[in-house]
Amino acid sequence: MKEKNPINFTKLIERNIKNRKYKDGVTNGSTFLFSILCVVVLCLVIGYVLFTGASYLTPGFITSNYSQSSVALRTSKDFVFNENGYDYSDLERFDDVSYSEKWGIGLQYGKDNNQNNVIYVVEVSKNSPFNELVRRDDGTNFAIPNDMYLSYITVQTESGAYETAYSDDGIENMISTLDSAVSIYDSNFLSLGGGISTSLITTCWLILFTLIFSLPLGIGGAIYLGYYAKDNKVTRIIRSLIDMSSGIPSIIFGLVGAAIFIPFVGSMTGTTGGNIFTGALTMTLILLPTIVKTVEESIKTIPKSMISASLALGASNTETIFKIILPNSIDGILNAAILGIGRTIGESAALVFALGTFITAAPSFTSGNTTLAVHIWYILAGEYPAYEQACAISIMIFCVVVILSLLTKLINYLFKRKRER
Amino acid sequence: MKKVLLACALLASCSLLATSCNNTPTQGDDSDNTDNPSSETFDTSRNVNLYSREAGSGTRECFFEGIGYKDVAKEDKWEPGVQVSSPTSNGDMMSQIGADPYGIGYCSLDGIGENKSIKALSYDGVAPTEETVIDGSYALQRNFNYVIRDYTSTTVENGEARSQVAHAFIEFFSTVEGQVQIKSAGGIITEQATKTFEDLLAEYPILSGSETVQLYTCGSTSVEKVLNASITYFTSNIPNKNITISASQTGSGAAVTGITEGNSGTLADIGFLSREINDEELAKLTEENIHASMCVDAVVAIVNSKNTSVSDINGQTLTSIYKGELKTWADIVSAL
Repeated sequence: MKEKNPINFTKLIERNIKNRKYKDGVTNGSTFLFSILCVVVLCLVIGYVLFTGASYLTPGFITSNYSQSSVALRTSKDFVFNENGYDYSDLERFDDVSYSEKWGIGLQYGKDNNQNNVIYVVEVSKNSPFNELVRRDDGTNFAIPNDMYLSYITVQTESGAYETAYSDDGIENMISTLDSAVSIYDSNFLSLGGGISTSLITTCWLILFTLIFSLPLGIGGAIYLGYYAKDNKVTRIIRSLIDMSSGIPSIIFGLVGAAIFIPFVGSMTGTTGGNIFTGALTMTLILLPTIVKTVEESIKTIPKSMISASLALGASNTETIFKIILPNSIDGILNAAILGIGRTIGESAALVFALGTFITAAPSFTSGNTTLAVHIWYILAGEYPAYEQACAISIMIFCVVVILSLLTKLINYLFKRKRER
Repeated sequence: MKKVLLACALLASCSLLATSCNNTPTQGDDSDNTDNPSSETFDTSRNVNLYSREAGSGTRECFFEGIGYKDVAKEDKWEPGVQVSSPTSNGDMMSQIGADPYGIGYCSLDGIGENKSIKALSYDGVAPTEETVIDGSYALQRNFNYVIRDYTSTTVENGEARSQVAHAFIEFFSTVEGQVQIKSAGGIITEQATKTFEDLLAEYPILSGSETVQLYTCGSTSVEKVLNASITYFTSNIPNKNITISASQTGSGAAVTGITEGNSGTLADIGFLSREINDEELAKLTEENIHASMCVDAVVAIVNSKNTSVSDINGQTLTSIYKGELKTWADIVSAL
């Protein structure tokens, strides 16, 4: 019996090693499998957004307003069409432009922000009656704007009847309608609608005010926790509360914003409903835990000897804070600010309540507005959900977030190199 | 080793991406046609997936009253066991039907436009077009109606001016220019107007003044396209640039309550309905609440464009479908 033991032992080890190899293979394989799955899912999401939204992300989309404006033009009431014809020899006659020989204008298809075909007036002869069209609201002369498209044109025919050619029916139809016209009764030029310029500007304002409110508060809290606070029960409770509050769902902050900040700001400034300030205050609540944590971490990395030296040289606490602690924790402050910007751009649930979902013509400090993330929600909740535009906005948000995270990396790298010197 | 694996991962994801891009990206959880590579053929043995707008929608009332299944026109009183998805807007309905080859639903004619992923069905052999709606041969049609707030019963801030603008805006729908807006947004006009925009400006001096007036509209979502086009033209081309009109449309059910009681506090000035005003609502109105129709629209039964089995349908069949009596597309074809 005793002789068998050593043989058994080596066998056991061998079997163990075999077993372990097998187990290792399975566990390693599963980690690789899961990470591949993650990468694939991420690629699919980004790919879908890029493929769907890229063609919609045009300069016109970024710079134009969400609401459309219209300018309706007509020939003046005493206008009589010159039967002898006009001299349109100055027209350049591009190949891809269709011309109305009777009125001396060139029409061409373009795209609006929904990527639908619309008609632009691209060329007007200097002798064309179209140069003398007047606005229907105040009767003043108005040059045909090249950033507005022609949505329809109503003409009066010789019999006095009104006839309308819509841009949906194509250029040929419009030109033949123009050929039968003796005067232009109503030509409606529309600006590109459906853009995001207001939401973009509002987002910038919101970021600015959020940082103005949250950075001083957060840095103050961090200095207290990292410099003044003794390590006792109260401090520990405060720390765990801060940790906990970073886990609260943002919609609850939105509720608080709507219930407390809207009446609060309203009583001070007389506004009703959400505006940029209530939105910024709500975002401040959301950001504070992150800012306090980040800045405190960086304060803790300052060598105790530096602070002691400053105090020993006779500097007061205030001087130590402003001359030693703040300059040396600047990397943490910048990181906190960048994290805050990223969070503000991406936040939607809280801002639906605290800022509003109104896409206005211009950013307003006294009434409801919308940021880019809420803009996505708004256009998807509408009567005709616009998935493509939502993807285009997502691409913008992606880009900003990627740039910001690269910036954080860069700042960390620069400060690390500086310290090592 | 790591590099090889990473490369493999990237390759796999790229190939997956490429294949996923071949299928046009569709919204919703549609897996019906992806497991079947030859999805071009329409399988009539499959069950019909029912879609209906939410209760309170004017489009829904018009559709179910039109086909003669009044039990569900206003409430979700479906037969036991009948599963119905409820998109909350015309656009939502079209994108869901566009993603479901075996779905059937309905939406307003003005919304369909150039949508290639869905197919509009004829009703009783009549195709839904502007002409058939105007001559009345297409049966599933309805009026877009409006109702104006009563400014005399209670004191309203700036009431006189608001009343003037509200009436002017409503009259705009029966001018030559207003009718063009309605038509350009897909609405259908039965009677040609002779009044012009200039006449309107002369009739309502407030449109040429400088008084600040803010109006709010409420009610049907189906009128949204027509309404937005009209608001854009009206507010941009009246000399008074201080007049603004904000539309917040939620459904026909909110039209009369919006102007009499107010939705969430503020009373709206004009309510829009994509159906006729019912007796309950009429009881709430006074003589000052002017209401009438502004244009005509049709409700159209729609299926996915891959659906080759039906192109014409009638009220009786539709009723049986929504009652759950006809379960598969083959049943529908044999019932027609």
